[in-house]
Amino acid sequence: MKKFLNISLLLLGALSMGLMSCNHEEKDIFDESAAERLENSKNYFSNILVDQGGKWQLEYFTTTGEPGYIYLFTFEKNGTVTISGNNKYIGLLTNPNNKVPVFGSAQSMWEVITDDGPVLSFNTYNKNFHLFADPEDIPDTEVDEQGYGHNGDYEFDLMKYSNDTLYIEGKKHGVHMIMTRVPADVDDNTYLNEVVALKDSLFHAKIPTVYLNLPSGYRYVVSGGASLMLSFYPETGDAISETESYNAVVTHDGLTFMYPLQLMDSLTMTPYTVQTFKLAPDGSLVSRENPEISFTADILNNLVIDSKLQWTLNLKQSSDGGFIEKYNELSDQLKAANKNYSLVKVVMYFDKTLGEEINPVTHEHAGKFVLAPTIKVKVGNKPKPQNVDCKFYYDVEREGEDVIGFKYNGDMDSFASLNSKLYSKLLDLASYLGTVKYHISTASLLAPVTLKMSETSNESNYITVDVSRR
Amino acid sequence: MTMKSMKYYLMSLLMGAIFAMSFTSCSDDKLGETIFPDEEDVLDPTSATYQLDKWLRDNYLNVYNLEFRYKMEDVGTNMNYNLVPATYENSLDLAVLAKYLWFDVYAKIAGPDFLKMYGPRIIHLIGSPAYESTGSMILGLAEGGIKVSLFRVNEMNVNNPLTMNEFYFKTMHHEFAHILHQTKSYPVEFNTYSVGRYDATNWTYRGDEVHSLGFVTAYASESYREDFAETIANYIVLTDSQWARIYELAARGWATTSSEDDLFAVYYSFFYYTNNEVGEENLNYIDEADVFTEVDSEGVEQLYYKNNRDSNGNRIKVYPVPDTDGIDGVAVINKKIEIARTWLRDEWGVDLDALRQEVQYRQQHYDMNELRKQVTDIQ
Repeated sequence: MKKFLNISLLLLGALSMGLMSCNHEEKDIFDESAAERLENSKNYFSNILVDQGGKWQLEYFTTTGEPGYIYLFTFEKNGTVTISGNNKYIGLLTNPNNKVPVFGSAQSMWEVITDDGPVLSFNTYNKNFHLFADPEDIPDTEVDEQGYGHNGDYEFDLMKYSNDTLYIEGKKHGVHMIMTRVPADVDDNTYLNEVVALKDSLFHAKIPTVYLNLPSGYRYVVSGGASLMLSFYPETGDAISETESYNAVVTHDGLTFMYPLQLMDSLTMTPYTVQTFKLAPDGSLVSRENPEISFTADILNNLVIDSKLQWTLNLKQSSDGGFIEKYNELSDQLKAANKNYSLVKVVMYFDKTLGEEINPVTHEHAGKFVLAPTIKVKVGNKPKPQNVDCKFYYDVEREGEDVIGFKYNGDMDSFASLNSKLYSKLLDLASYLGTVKYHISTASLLAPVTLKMSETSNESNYITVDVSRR
Repeated sequence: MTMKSMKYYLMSLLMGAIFAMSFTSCSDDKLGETIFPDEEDVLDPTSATYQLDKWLRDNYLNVYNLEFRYKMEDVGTNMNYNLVPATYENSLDLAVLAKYLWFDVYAKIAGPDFLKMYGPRIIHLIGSPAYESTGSMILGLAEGGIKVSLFRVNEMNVNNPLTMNEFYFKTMHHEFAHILHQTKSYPVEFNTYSVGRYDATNWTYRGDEVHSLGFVTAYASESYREDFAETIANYIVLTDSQWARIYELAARGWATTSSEDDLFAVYYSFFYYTNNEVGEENLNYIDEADVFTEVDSEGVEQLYYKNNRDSNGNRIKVYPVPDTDGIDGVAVINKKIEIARTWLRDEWGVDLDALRQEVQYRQQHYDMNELRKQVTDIQ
């Protein structure tokens, strides 16, 4: 019986093995084979690329060691692609001393190939684009990059398509990038010149420090914008140990970082991740991911008293009344005294070395706002009139973010004192500044290189001042 | 047979039958249709590259079963190198030149089937050089007798025969020589002529003095195999005057003021004595470019230092460095050529000299525009 049981068990096992061996493959999950799906995917992306005129913008990045570059591609069904760019490396192809962006456009071939997925390959050399993948030494650096060059890609895994945006990944170096559809009638040269102009206007060398503002008002101090190699550190943090760097590219309508910015609001302990920014009508850059996060320069009445900057009166863009009326009276008085005398310019700035000492340890002073008209008058025994800076000193009163007033108590330097006695309108000008409050505005909150200062009591009276570095 | 044993017997039969069923039940699997899309591999006449693609199909694929790959596929390269594609224009030029100077030559000299049998199956054009960490650049690769990669195609200038020869034509024959010796070994005797003089790492630092060691190029001194391929390739593509120069340099003596271990040692083949005062302490080596030759009153060629005279106003006499390395560079090179010649004749039935003669003629007489027309005239 025992033997029979054993044999039965063996039989049962053999039978179940037999049945298992008949357990064929699962029913296909997909209707098509892997190769067919890959081929379909290739055709899908090829059609997307040539659709609607086939023009695309690529936000191209190589490594974190350099900014990004904008390229325009026009894909044709016959396998050709026109690639246009506007950067200094295109200029270096023909001029070894070139330092400025130069437009270039050339035709080569493209193809969506099937690898382990659909891959967009620019498979014949395009001098304006493949230069970033060329292993030759980069001409304008001190390092010898022979063997790797910029480390750029020219084959891209096609990851996703959504809302006229292609999400791609450099096949060799793994950098994620974005391609966005551009209207077919866009002129490449015009479009890319506008990108260059936007880059020049966004981060101005005269405003070296800007801020990344978080929703609570917490800020990061940002520098390096002009080179698009931006450094960030929390305003309340340490500029050395807490600085992080991110490279970016200026697009046709904003800014994109190569990698997302990882930010922390230390006031609310809220983390933020942002990567792309859109140019807002007020000139700031507003995060597309969180519109409460933006890049701006300092608040405007802080900017006026930034001791690293100075502001020069722009007569052409100022109204006739108010301060300019006093300006004109002084100018007339000088000319009346001598036809060779003149009011040359009016400069204003904040001098933080003046005023009472507020910290005996650091010898920090309260600072004074300085109005410095330059007049051309006769000085001492010199035969010809000389330029003389006359300085008047003010205390600053600020309201909110964009109102500022200057309290004048008669402080002036010796040149101002001497010339005020000779030309009474000089003191009138200085005194007038102390009688009004100004509302400050600007065309660009990120690059406020020009400020409009309107009298709060009469907005039709305003002056315009242009920034320069002190 | 007892009843008991009968039971066991029947049971065993039953088990055997069930096992057999379990296996045979799987035997109805059939090969399915191909998973690949059923598409004809037809060239698209509207493609911008149709003319070249058609010419390549007609002249390489259909004749030699060879894919001439000019559209870069990075995955088909060594990913350790940073490489870029070739330009379309240079690809076209190199395609027609490769056929004219390589495939057509072998077809004529070795017969039409030779390259069909032994030629590569893929030629891959790459726009840039492949840089090694040593700084040297790779101009060509022959991989497993199947694939030949030609690099630096974007630097190609068809109007400069010297660079065309050095960077492209020579590379074709060099890589093909590799394919041949990877198929049939060359005599090991070849490896005995320069034992101890190869330097796989530092050959890039070597200059003209390599000829006196018995190498046709510095790269030949990298290894036996490169020596063999370089010997054949240079024999085929270099002109008579270029060969005369190699023999001249190979016959010279060479000396350096540096240590022989110094990678950057510069070797000279001429020297002079300061102020013409003969003595070891006055000996200075001099570059050949600073030497000029003049026939003296007795009809003997004398060597002098350009633009230099001694304190008496006499020209400074220059002397050739004695050849003391114990190597007859000319003889070694000739022996290597002879081995290659014999091996090609006996193993492959190829006449190396006829090959050279044909290539020399074609190198000097090709009309680039005519060659291009083969492609551009395609309708």
